[in-house]
Amino acid sequence: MLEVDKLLVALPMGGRPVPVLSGVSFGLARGDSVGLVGESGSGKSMTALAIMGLLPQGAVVAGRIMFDGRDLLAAGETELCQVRGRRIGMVFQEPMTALNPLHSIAAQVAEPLRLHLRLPRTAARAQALALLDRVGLPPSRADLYPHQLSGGQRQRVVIAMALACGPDLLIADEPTTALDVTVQAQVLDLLSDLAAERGMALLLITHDLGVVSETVRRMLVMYAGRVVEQGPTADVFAGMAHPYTRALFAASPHAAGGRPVAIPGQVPDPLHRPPGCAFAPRCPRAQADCTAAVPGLDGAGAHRAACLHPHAAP
Amino acid sequence: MTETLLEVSGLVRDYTLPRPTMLAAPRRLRVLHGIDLAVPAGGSVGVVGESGSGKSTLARCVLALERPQAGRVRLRGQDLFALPRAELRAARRHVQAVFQDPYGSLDPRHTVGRIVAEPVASLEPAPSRRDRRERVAAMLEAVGLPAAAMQKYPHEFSGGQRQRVAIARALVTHPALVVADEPVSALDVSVQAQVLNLMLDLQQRLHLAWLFISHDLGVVRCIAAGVVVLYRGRIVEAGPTGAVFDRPLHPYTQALVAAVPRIGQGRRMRTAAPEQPPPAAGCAYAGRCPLVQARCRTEVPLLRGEQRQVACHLVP
Repeated sequence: MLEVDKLLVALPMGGRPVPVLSGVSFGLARGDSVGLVGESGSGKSMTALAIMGLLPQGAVVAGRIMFDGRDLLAAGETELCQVRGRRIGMVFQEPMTALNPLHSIAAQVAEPLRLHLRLPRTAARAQALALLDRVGLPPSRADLYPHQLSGGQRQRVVIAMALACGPDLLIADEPTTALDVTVQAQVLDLLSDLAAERGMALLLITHDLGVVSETVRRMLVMYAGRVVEQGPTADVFAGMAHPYTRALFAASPHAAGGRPVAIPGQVPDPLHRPPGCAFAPRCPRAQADCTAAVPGLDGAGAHRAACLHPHAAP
Repeated sequence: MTETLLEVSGLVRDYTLPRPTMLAAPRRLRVLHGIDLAVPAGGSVGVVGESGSGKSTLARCVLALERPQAGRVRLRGQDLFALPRAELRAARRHVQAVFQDPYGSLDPRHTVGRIVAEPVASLEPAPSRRDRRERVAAMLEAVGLPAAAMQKYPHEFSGGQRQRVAIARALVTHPALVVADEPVSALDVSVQAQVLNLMLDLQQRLHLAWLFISHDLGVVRCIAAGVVVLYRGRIVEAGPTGAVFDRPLHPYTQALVAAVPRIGQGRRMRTAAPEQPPPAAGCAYAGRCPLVQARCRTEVPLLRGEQRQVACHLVP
């Protein structure tokens, strides 16, 4: 349903376009789920913005983003407006800024229904109440305002809004980062349930490897604007072929006690990306050939890594 | 047996809510219901719980930024709230803080040198300018920043570097205890690992104690030897971190541990207990507890035990 093909995005920095995404490709079928992981600056959110047609002014884009047979990159603003919110829903990290403080939550969930589906007021409200109920906010809460809700409840309102028009694809950018673990578990379960119930595809962006592991079927590890490893989630965690994937794992405090191992150095900014493999300067396995050319995402199987000296599968 | 550095006993903190009507008596909300906890010198204790559990209020009381309605906060046996103003000021040298937001907690118009020197200037009896400068440089070096950082402003640093500046500022008076409220929650995984390792190193090198507040159980496990689990202003479980997280005894701790997403695990069904308004009597967790019994709704369970402490009627 969604096919991102050799997506390249360059943003103007210091007077010239600088690539922030290079050759990102992946597909997402109806009812499927894909996770994007990586540190900040890896290009996760930029990929989501590109799909939504929400890139910053002056961005140069190449490649294709096919959604149900139409190329979103070639689509005009009017066409995009029919897709955004209607066919593709989006949930952002910060639920407070995504909500309007002056409208009740029922009114905000009803808005896309009135706008996109042209439902009359009463029908839109009835459906908004049903949606809020589905995300665990009973009708008694429907007329509350955002400031009267907790962070988890607000995030559920944002999810209800994103789901209002029954989108075919839901893009969730760090949807649970601001939430407590117990609420996070509820929100993730809700997203998975809805995906299964409605055959909706889910694109989940997170830096939390545990969240990816439990929520999505396939995952892409991104570094400095490229996909460095991809495959079925279980295979990626079992194999962890790319040294960057292993480094992320070792840095993650979930690894049942013990000291986390920091990755030396930092993510290169787009202006100063090294030649060849962008991870080479921080990589414990780097050799001379790593700086010569950018390694491709090679391999025949579903699980692939863009590395010249990958870890062997166990 | 190591010396007890911080001892909190029977801490009660109420917040006054807005009056429902102009003539009504203001309502009060009890945020902490009698908290007891101890941090040994050079040790580390983590405080975990959901938002609204009272974690940050506890931190603010320990820092003597808020005065509790009842209870004591003793630092090396000295009751912070019984001290006269001048002595409290002197005592502040020994308890410092690191907060979550490395963007909001540093004044954007001051140089890093001035920010880190601030506690020395305001809390210590007239140190010379040169002495101050040397200590700032030494502290910046200890947290892994170059001495040249002194002339720069906060916006010139990344989030992880800013949190290092905040740590340098907290440590410059050589405190015995640092209260850290979600110090790594805003940081990226790798940077988070760097800052956690720095905190562990400094603890050993400077014989420093951390009171570490976080909602992230993985982070607490890395840094804290002991842990206290808060639920609606009460300690429901406490003990050595590994033991509490591996074999949680209280149903709330069990739910908390089960909710942490784990790597290498597929989707699990979790018992999603919805939020409930706090019950009028009995155990605060009774409304969400899968094991609730009649007694739980009438009688508040007390925190019992020695090494491992649990406040639950169902744990023998």
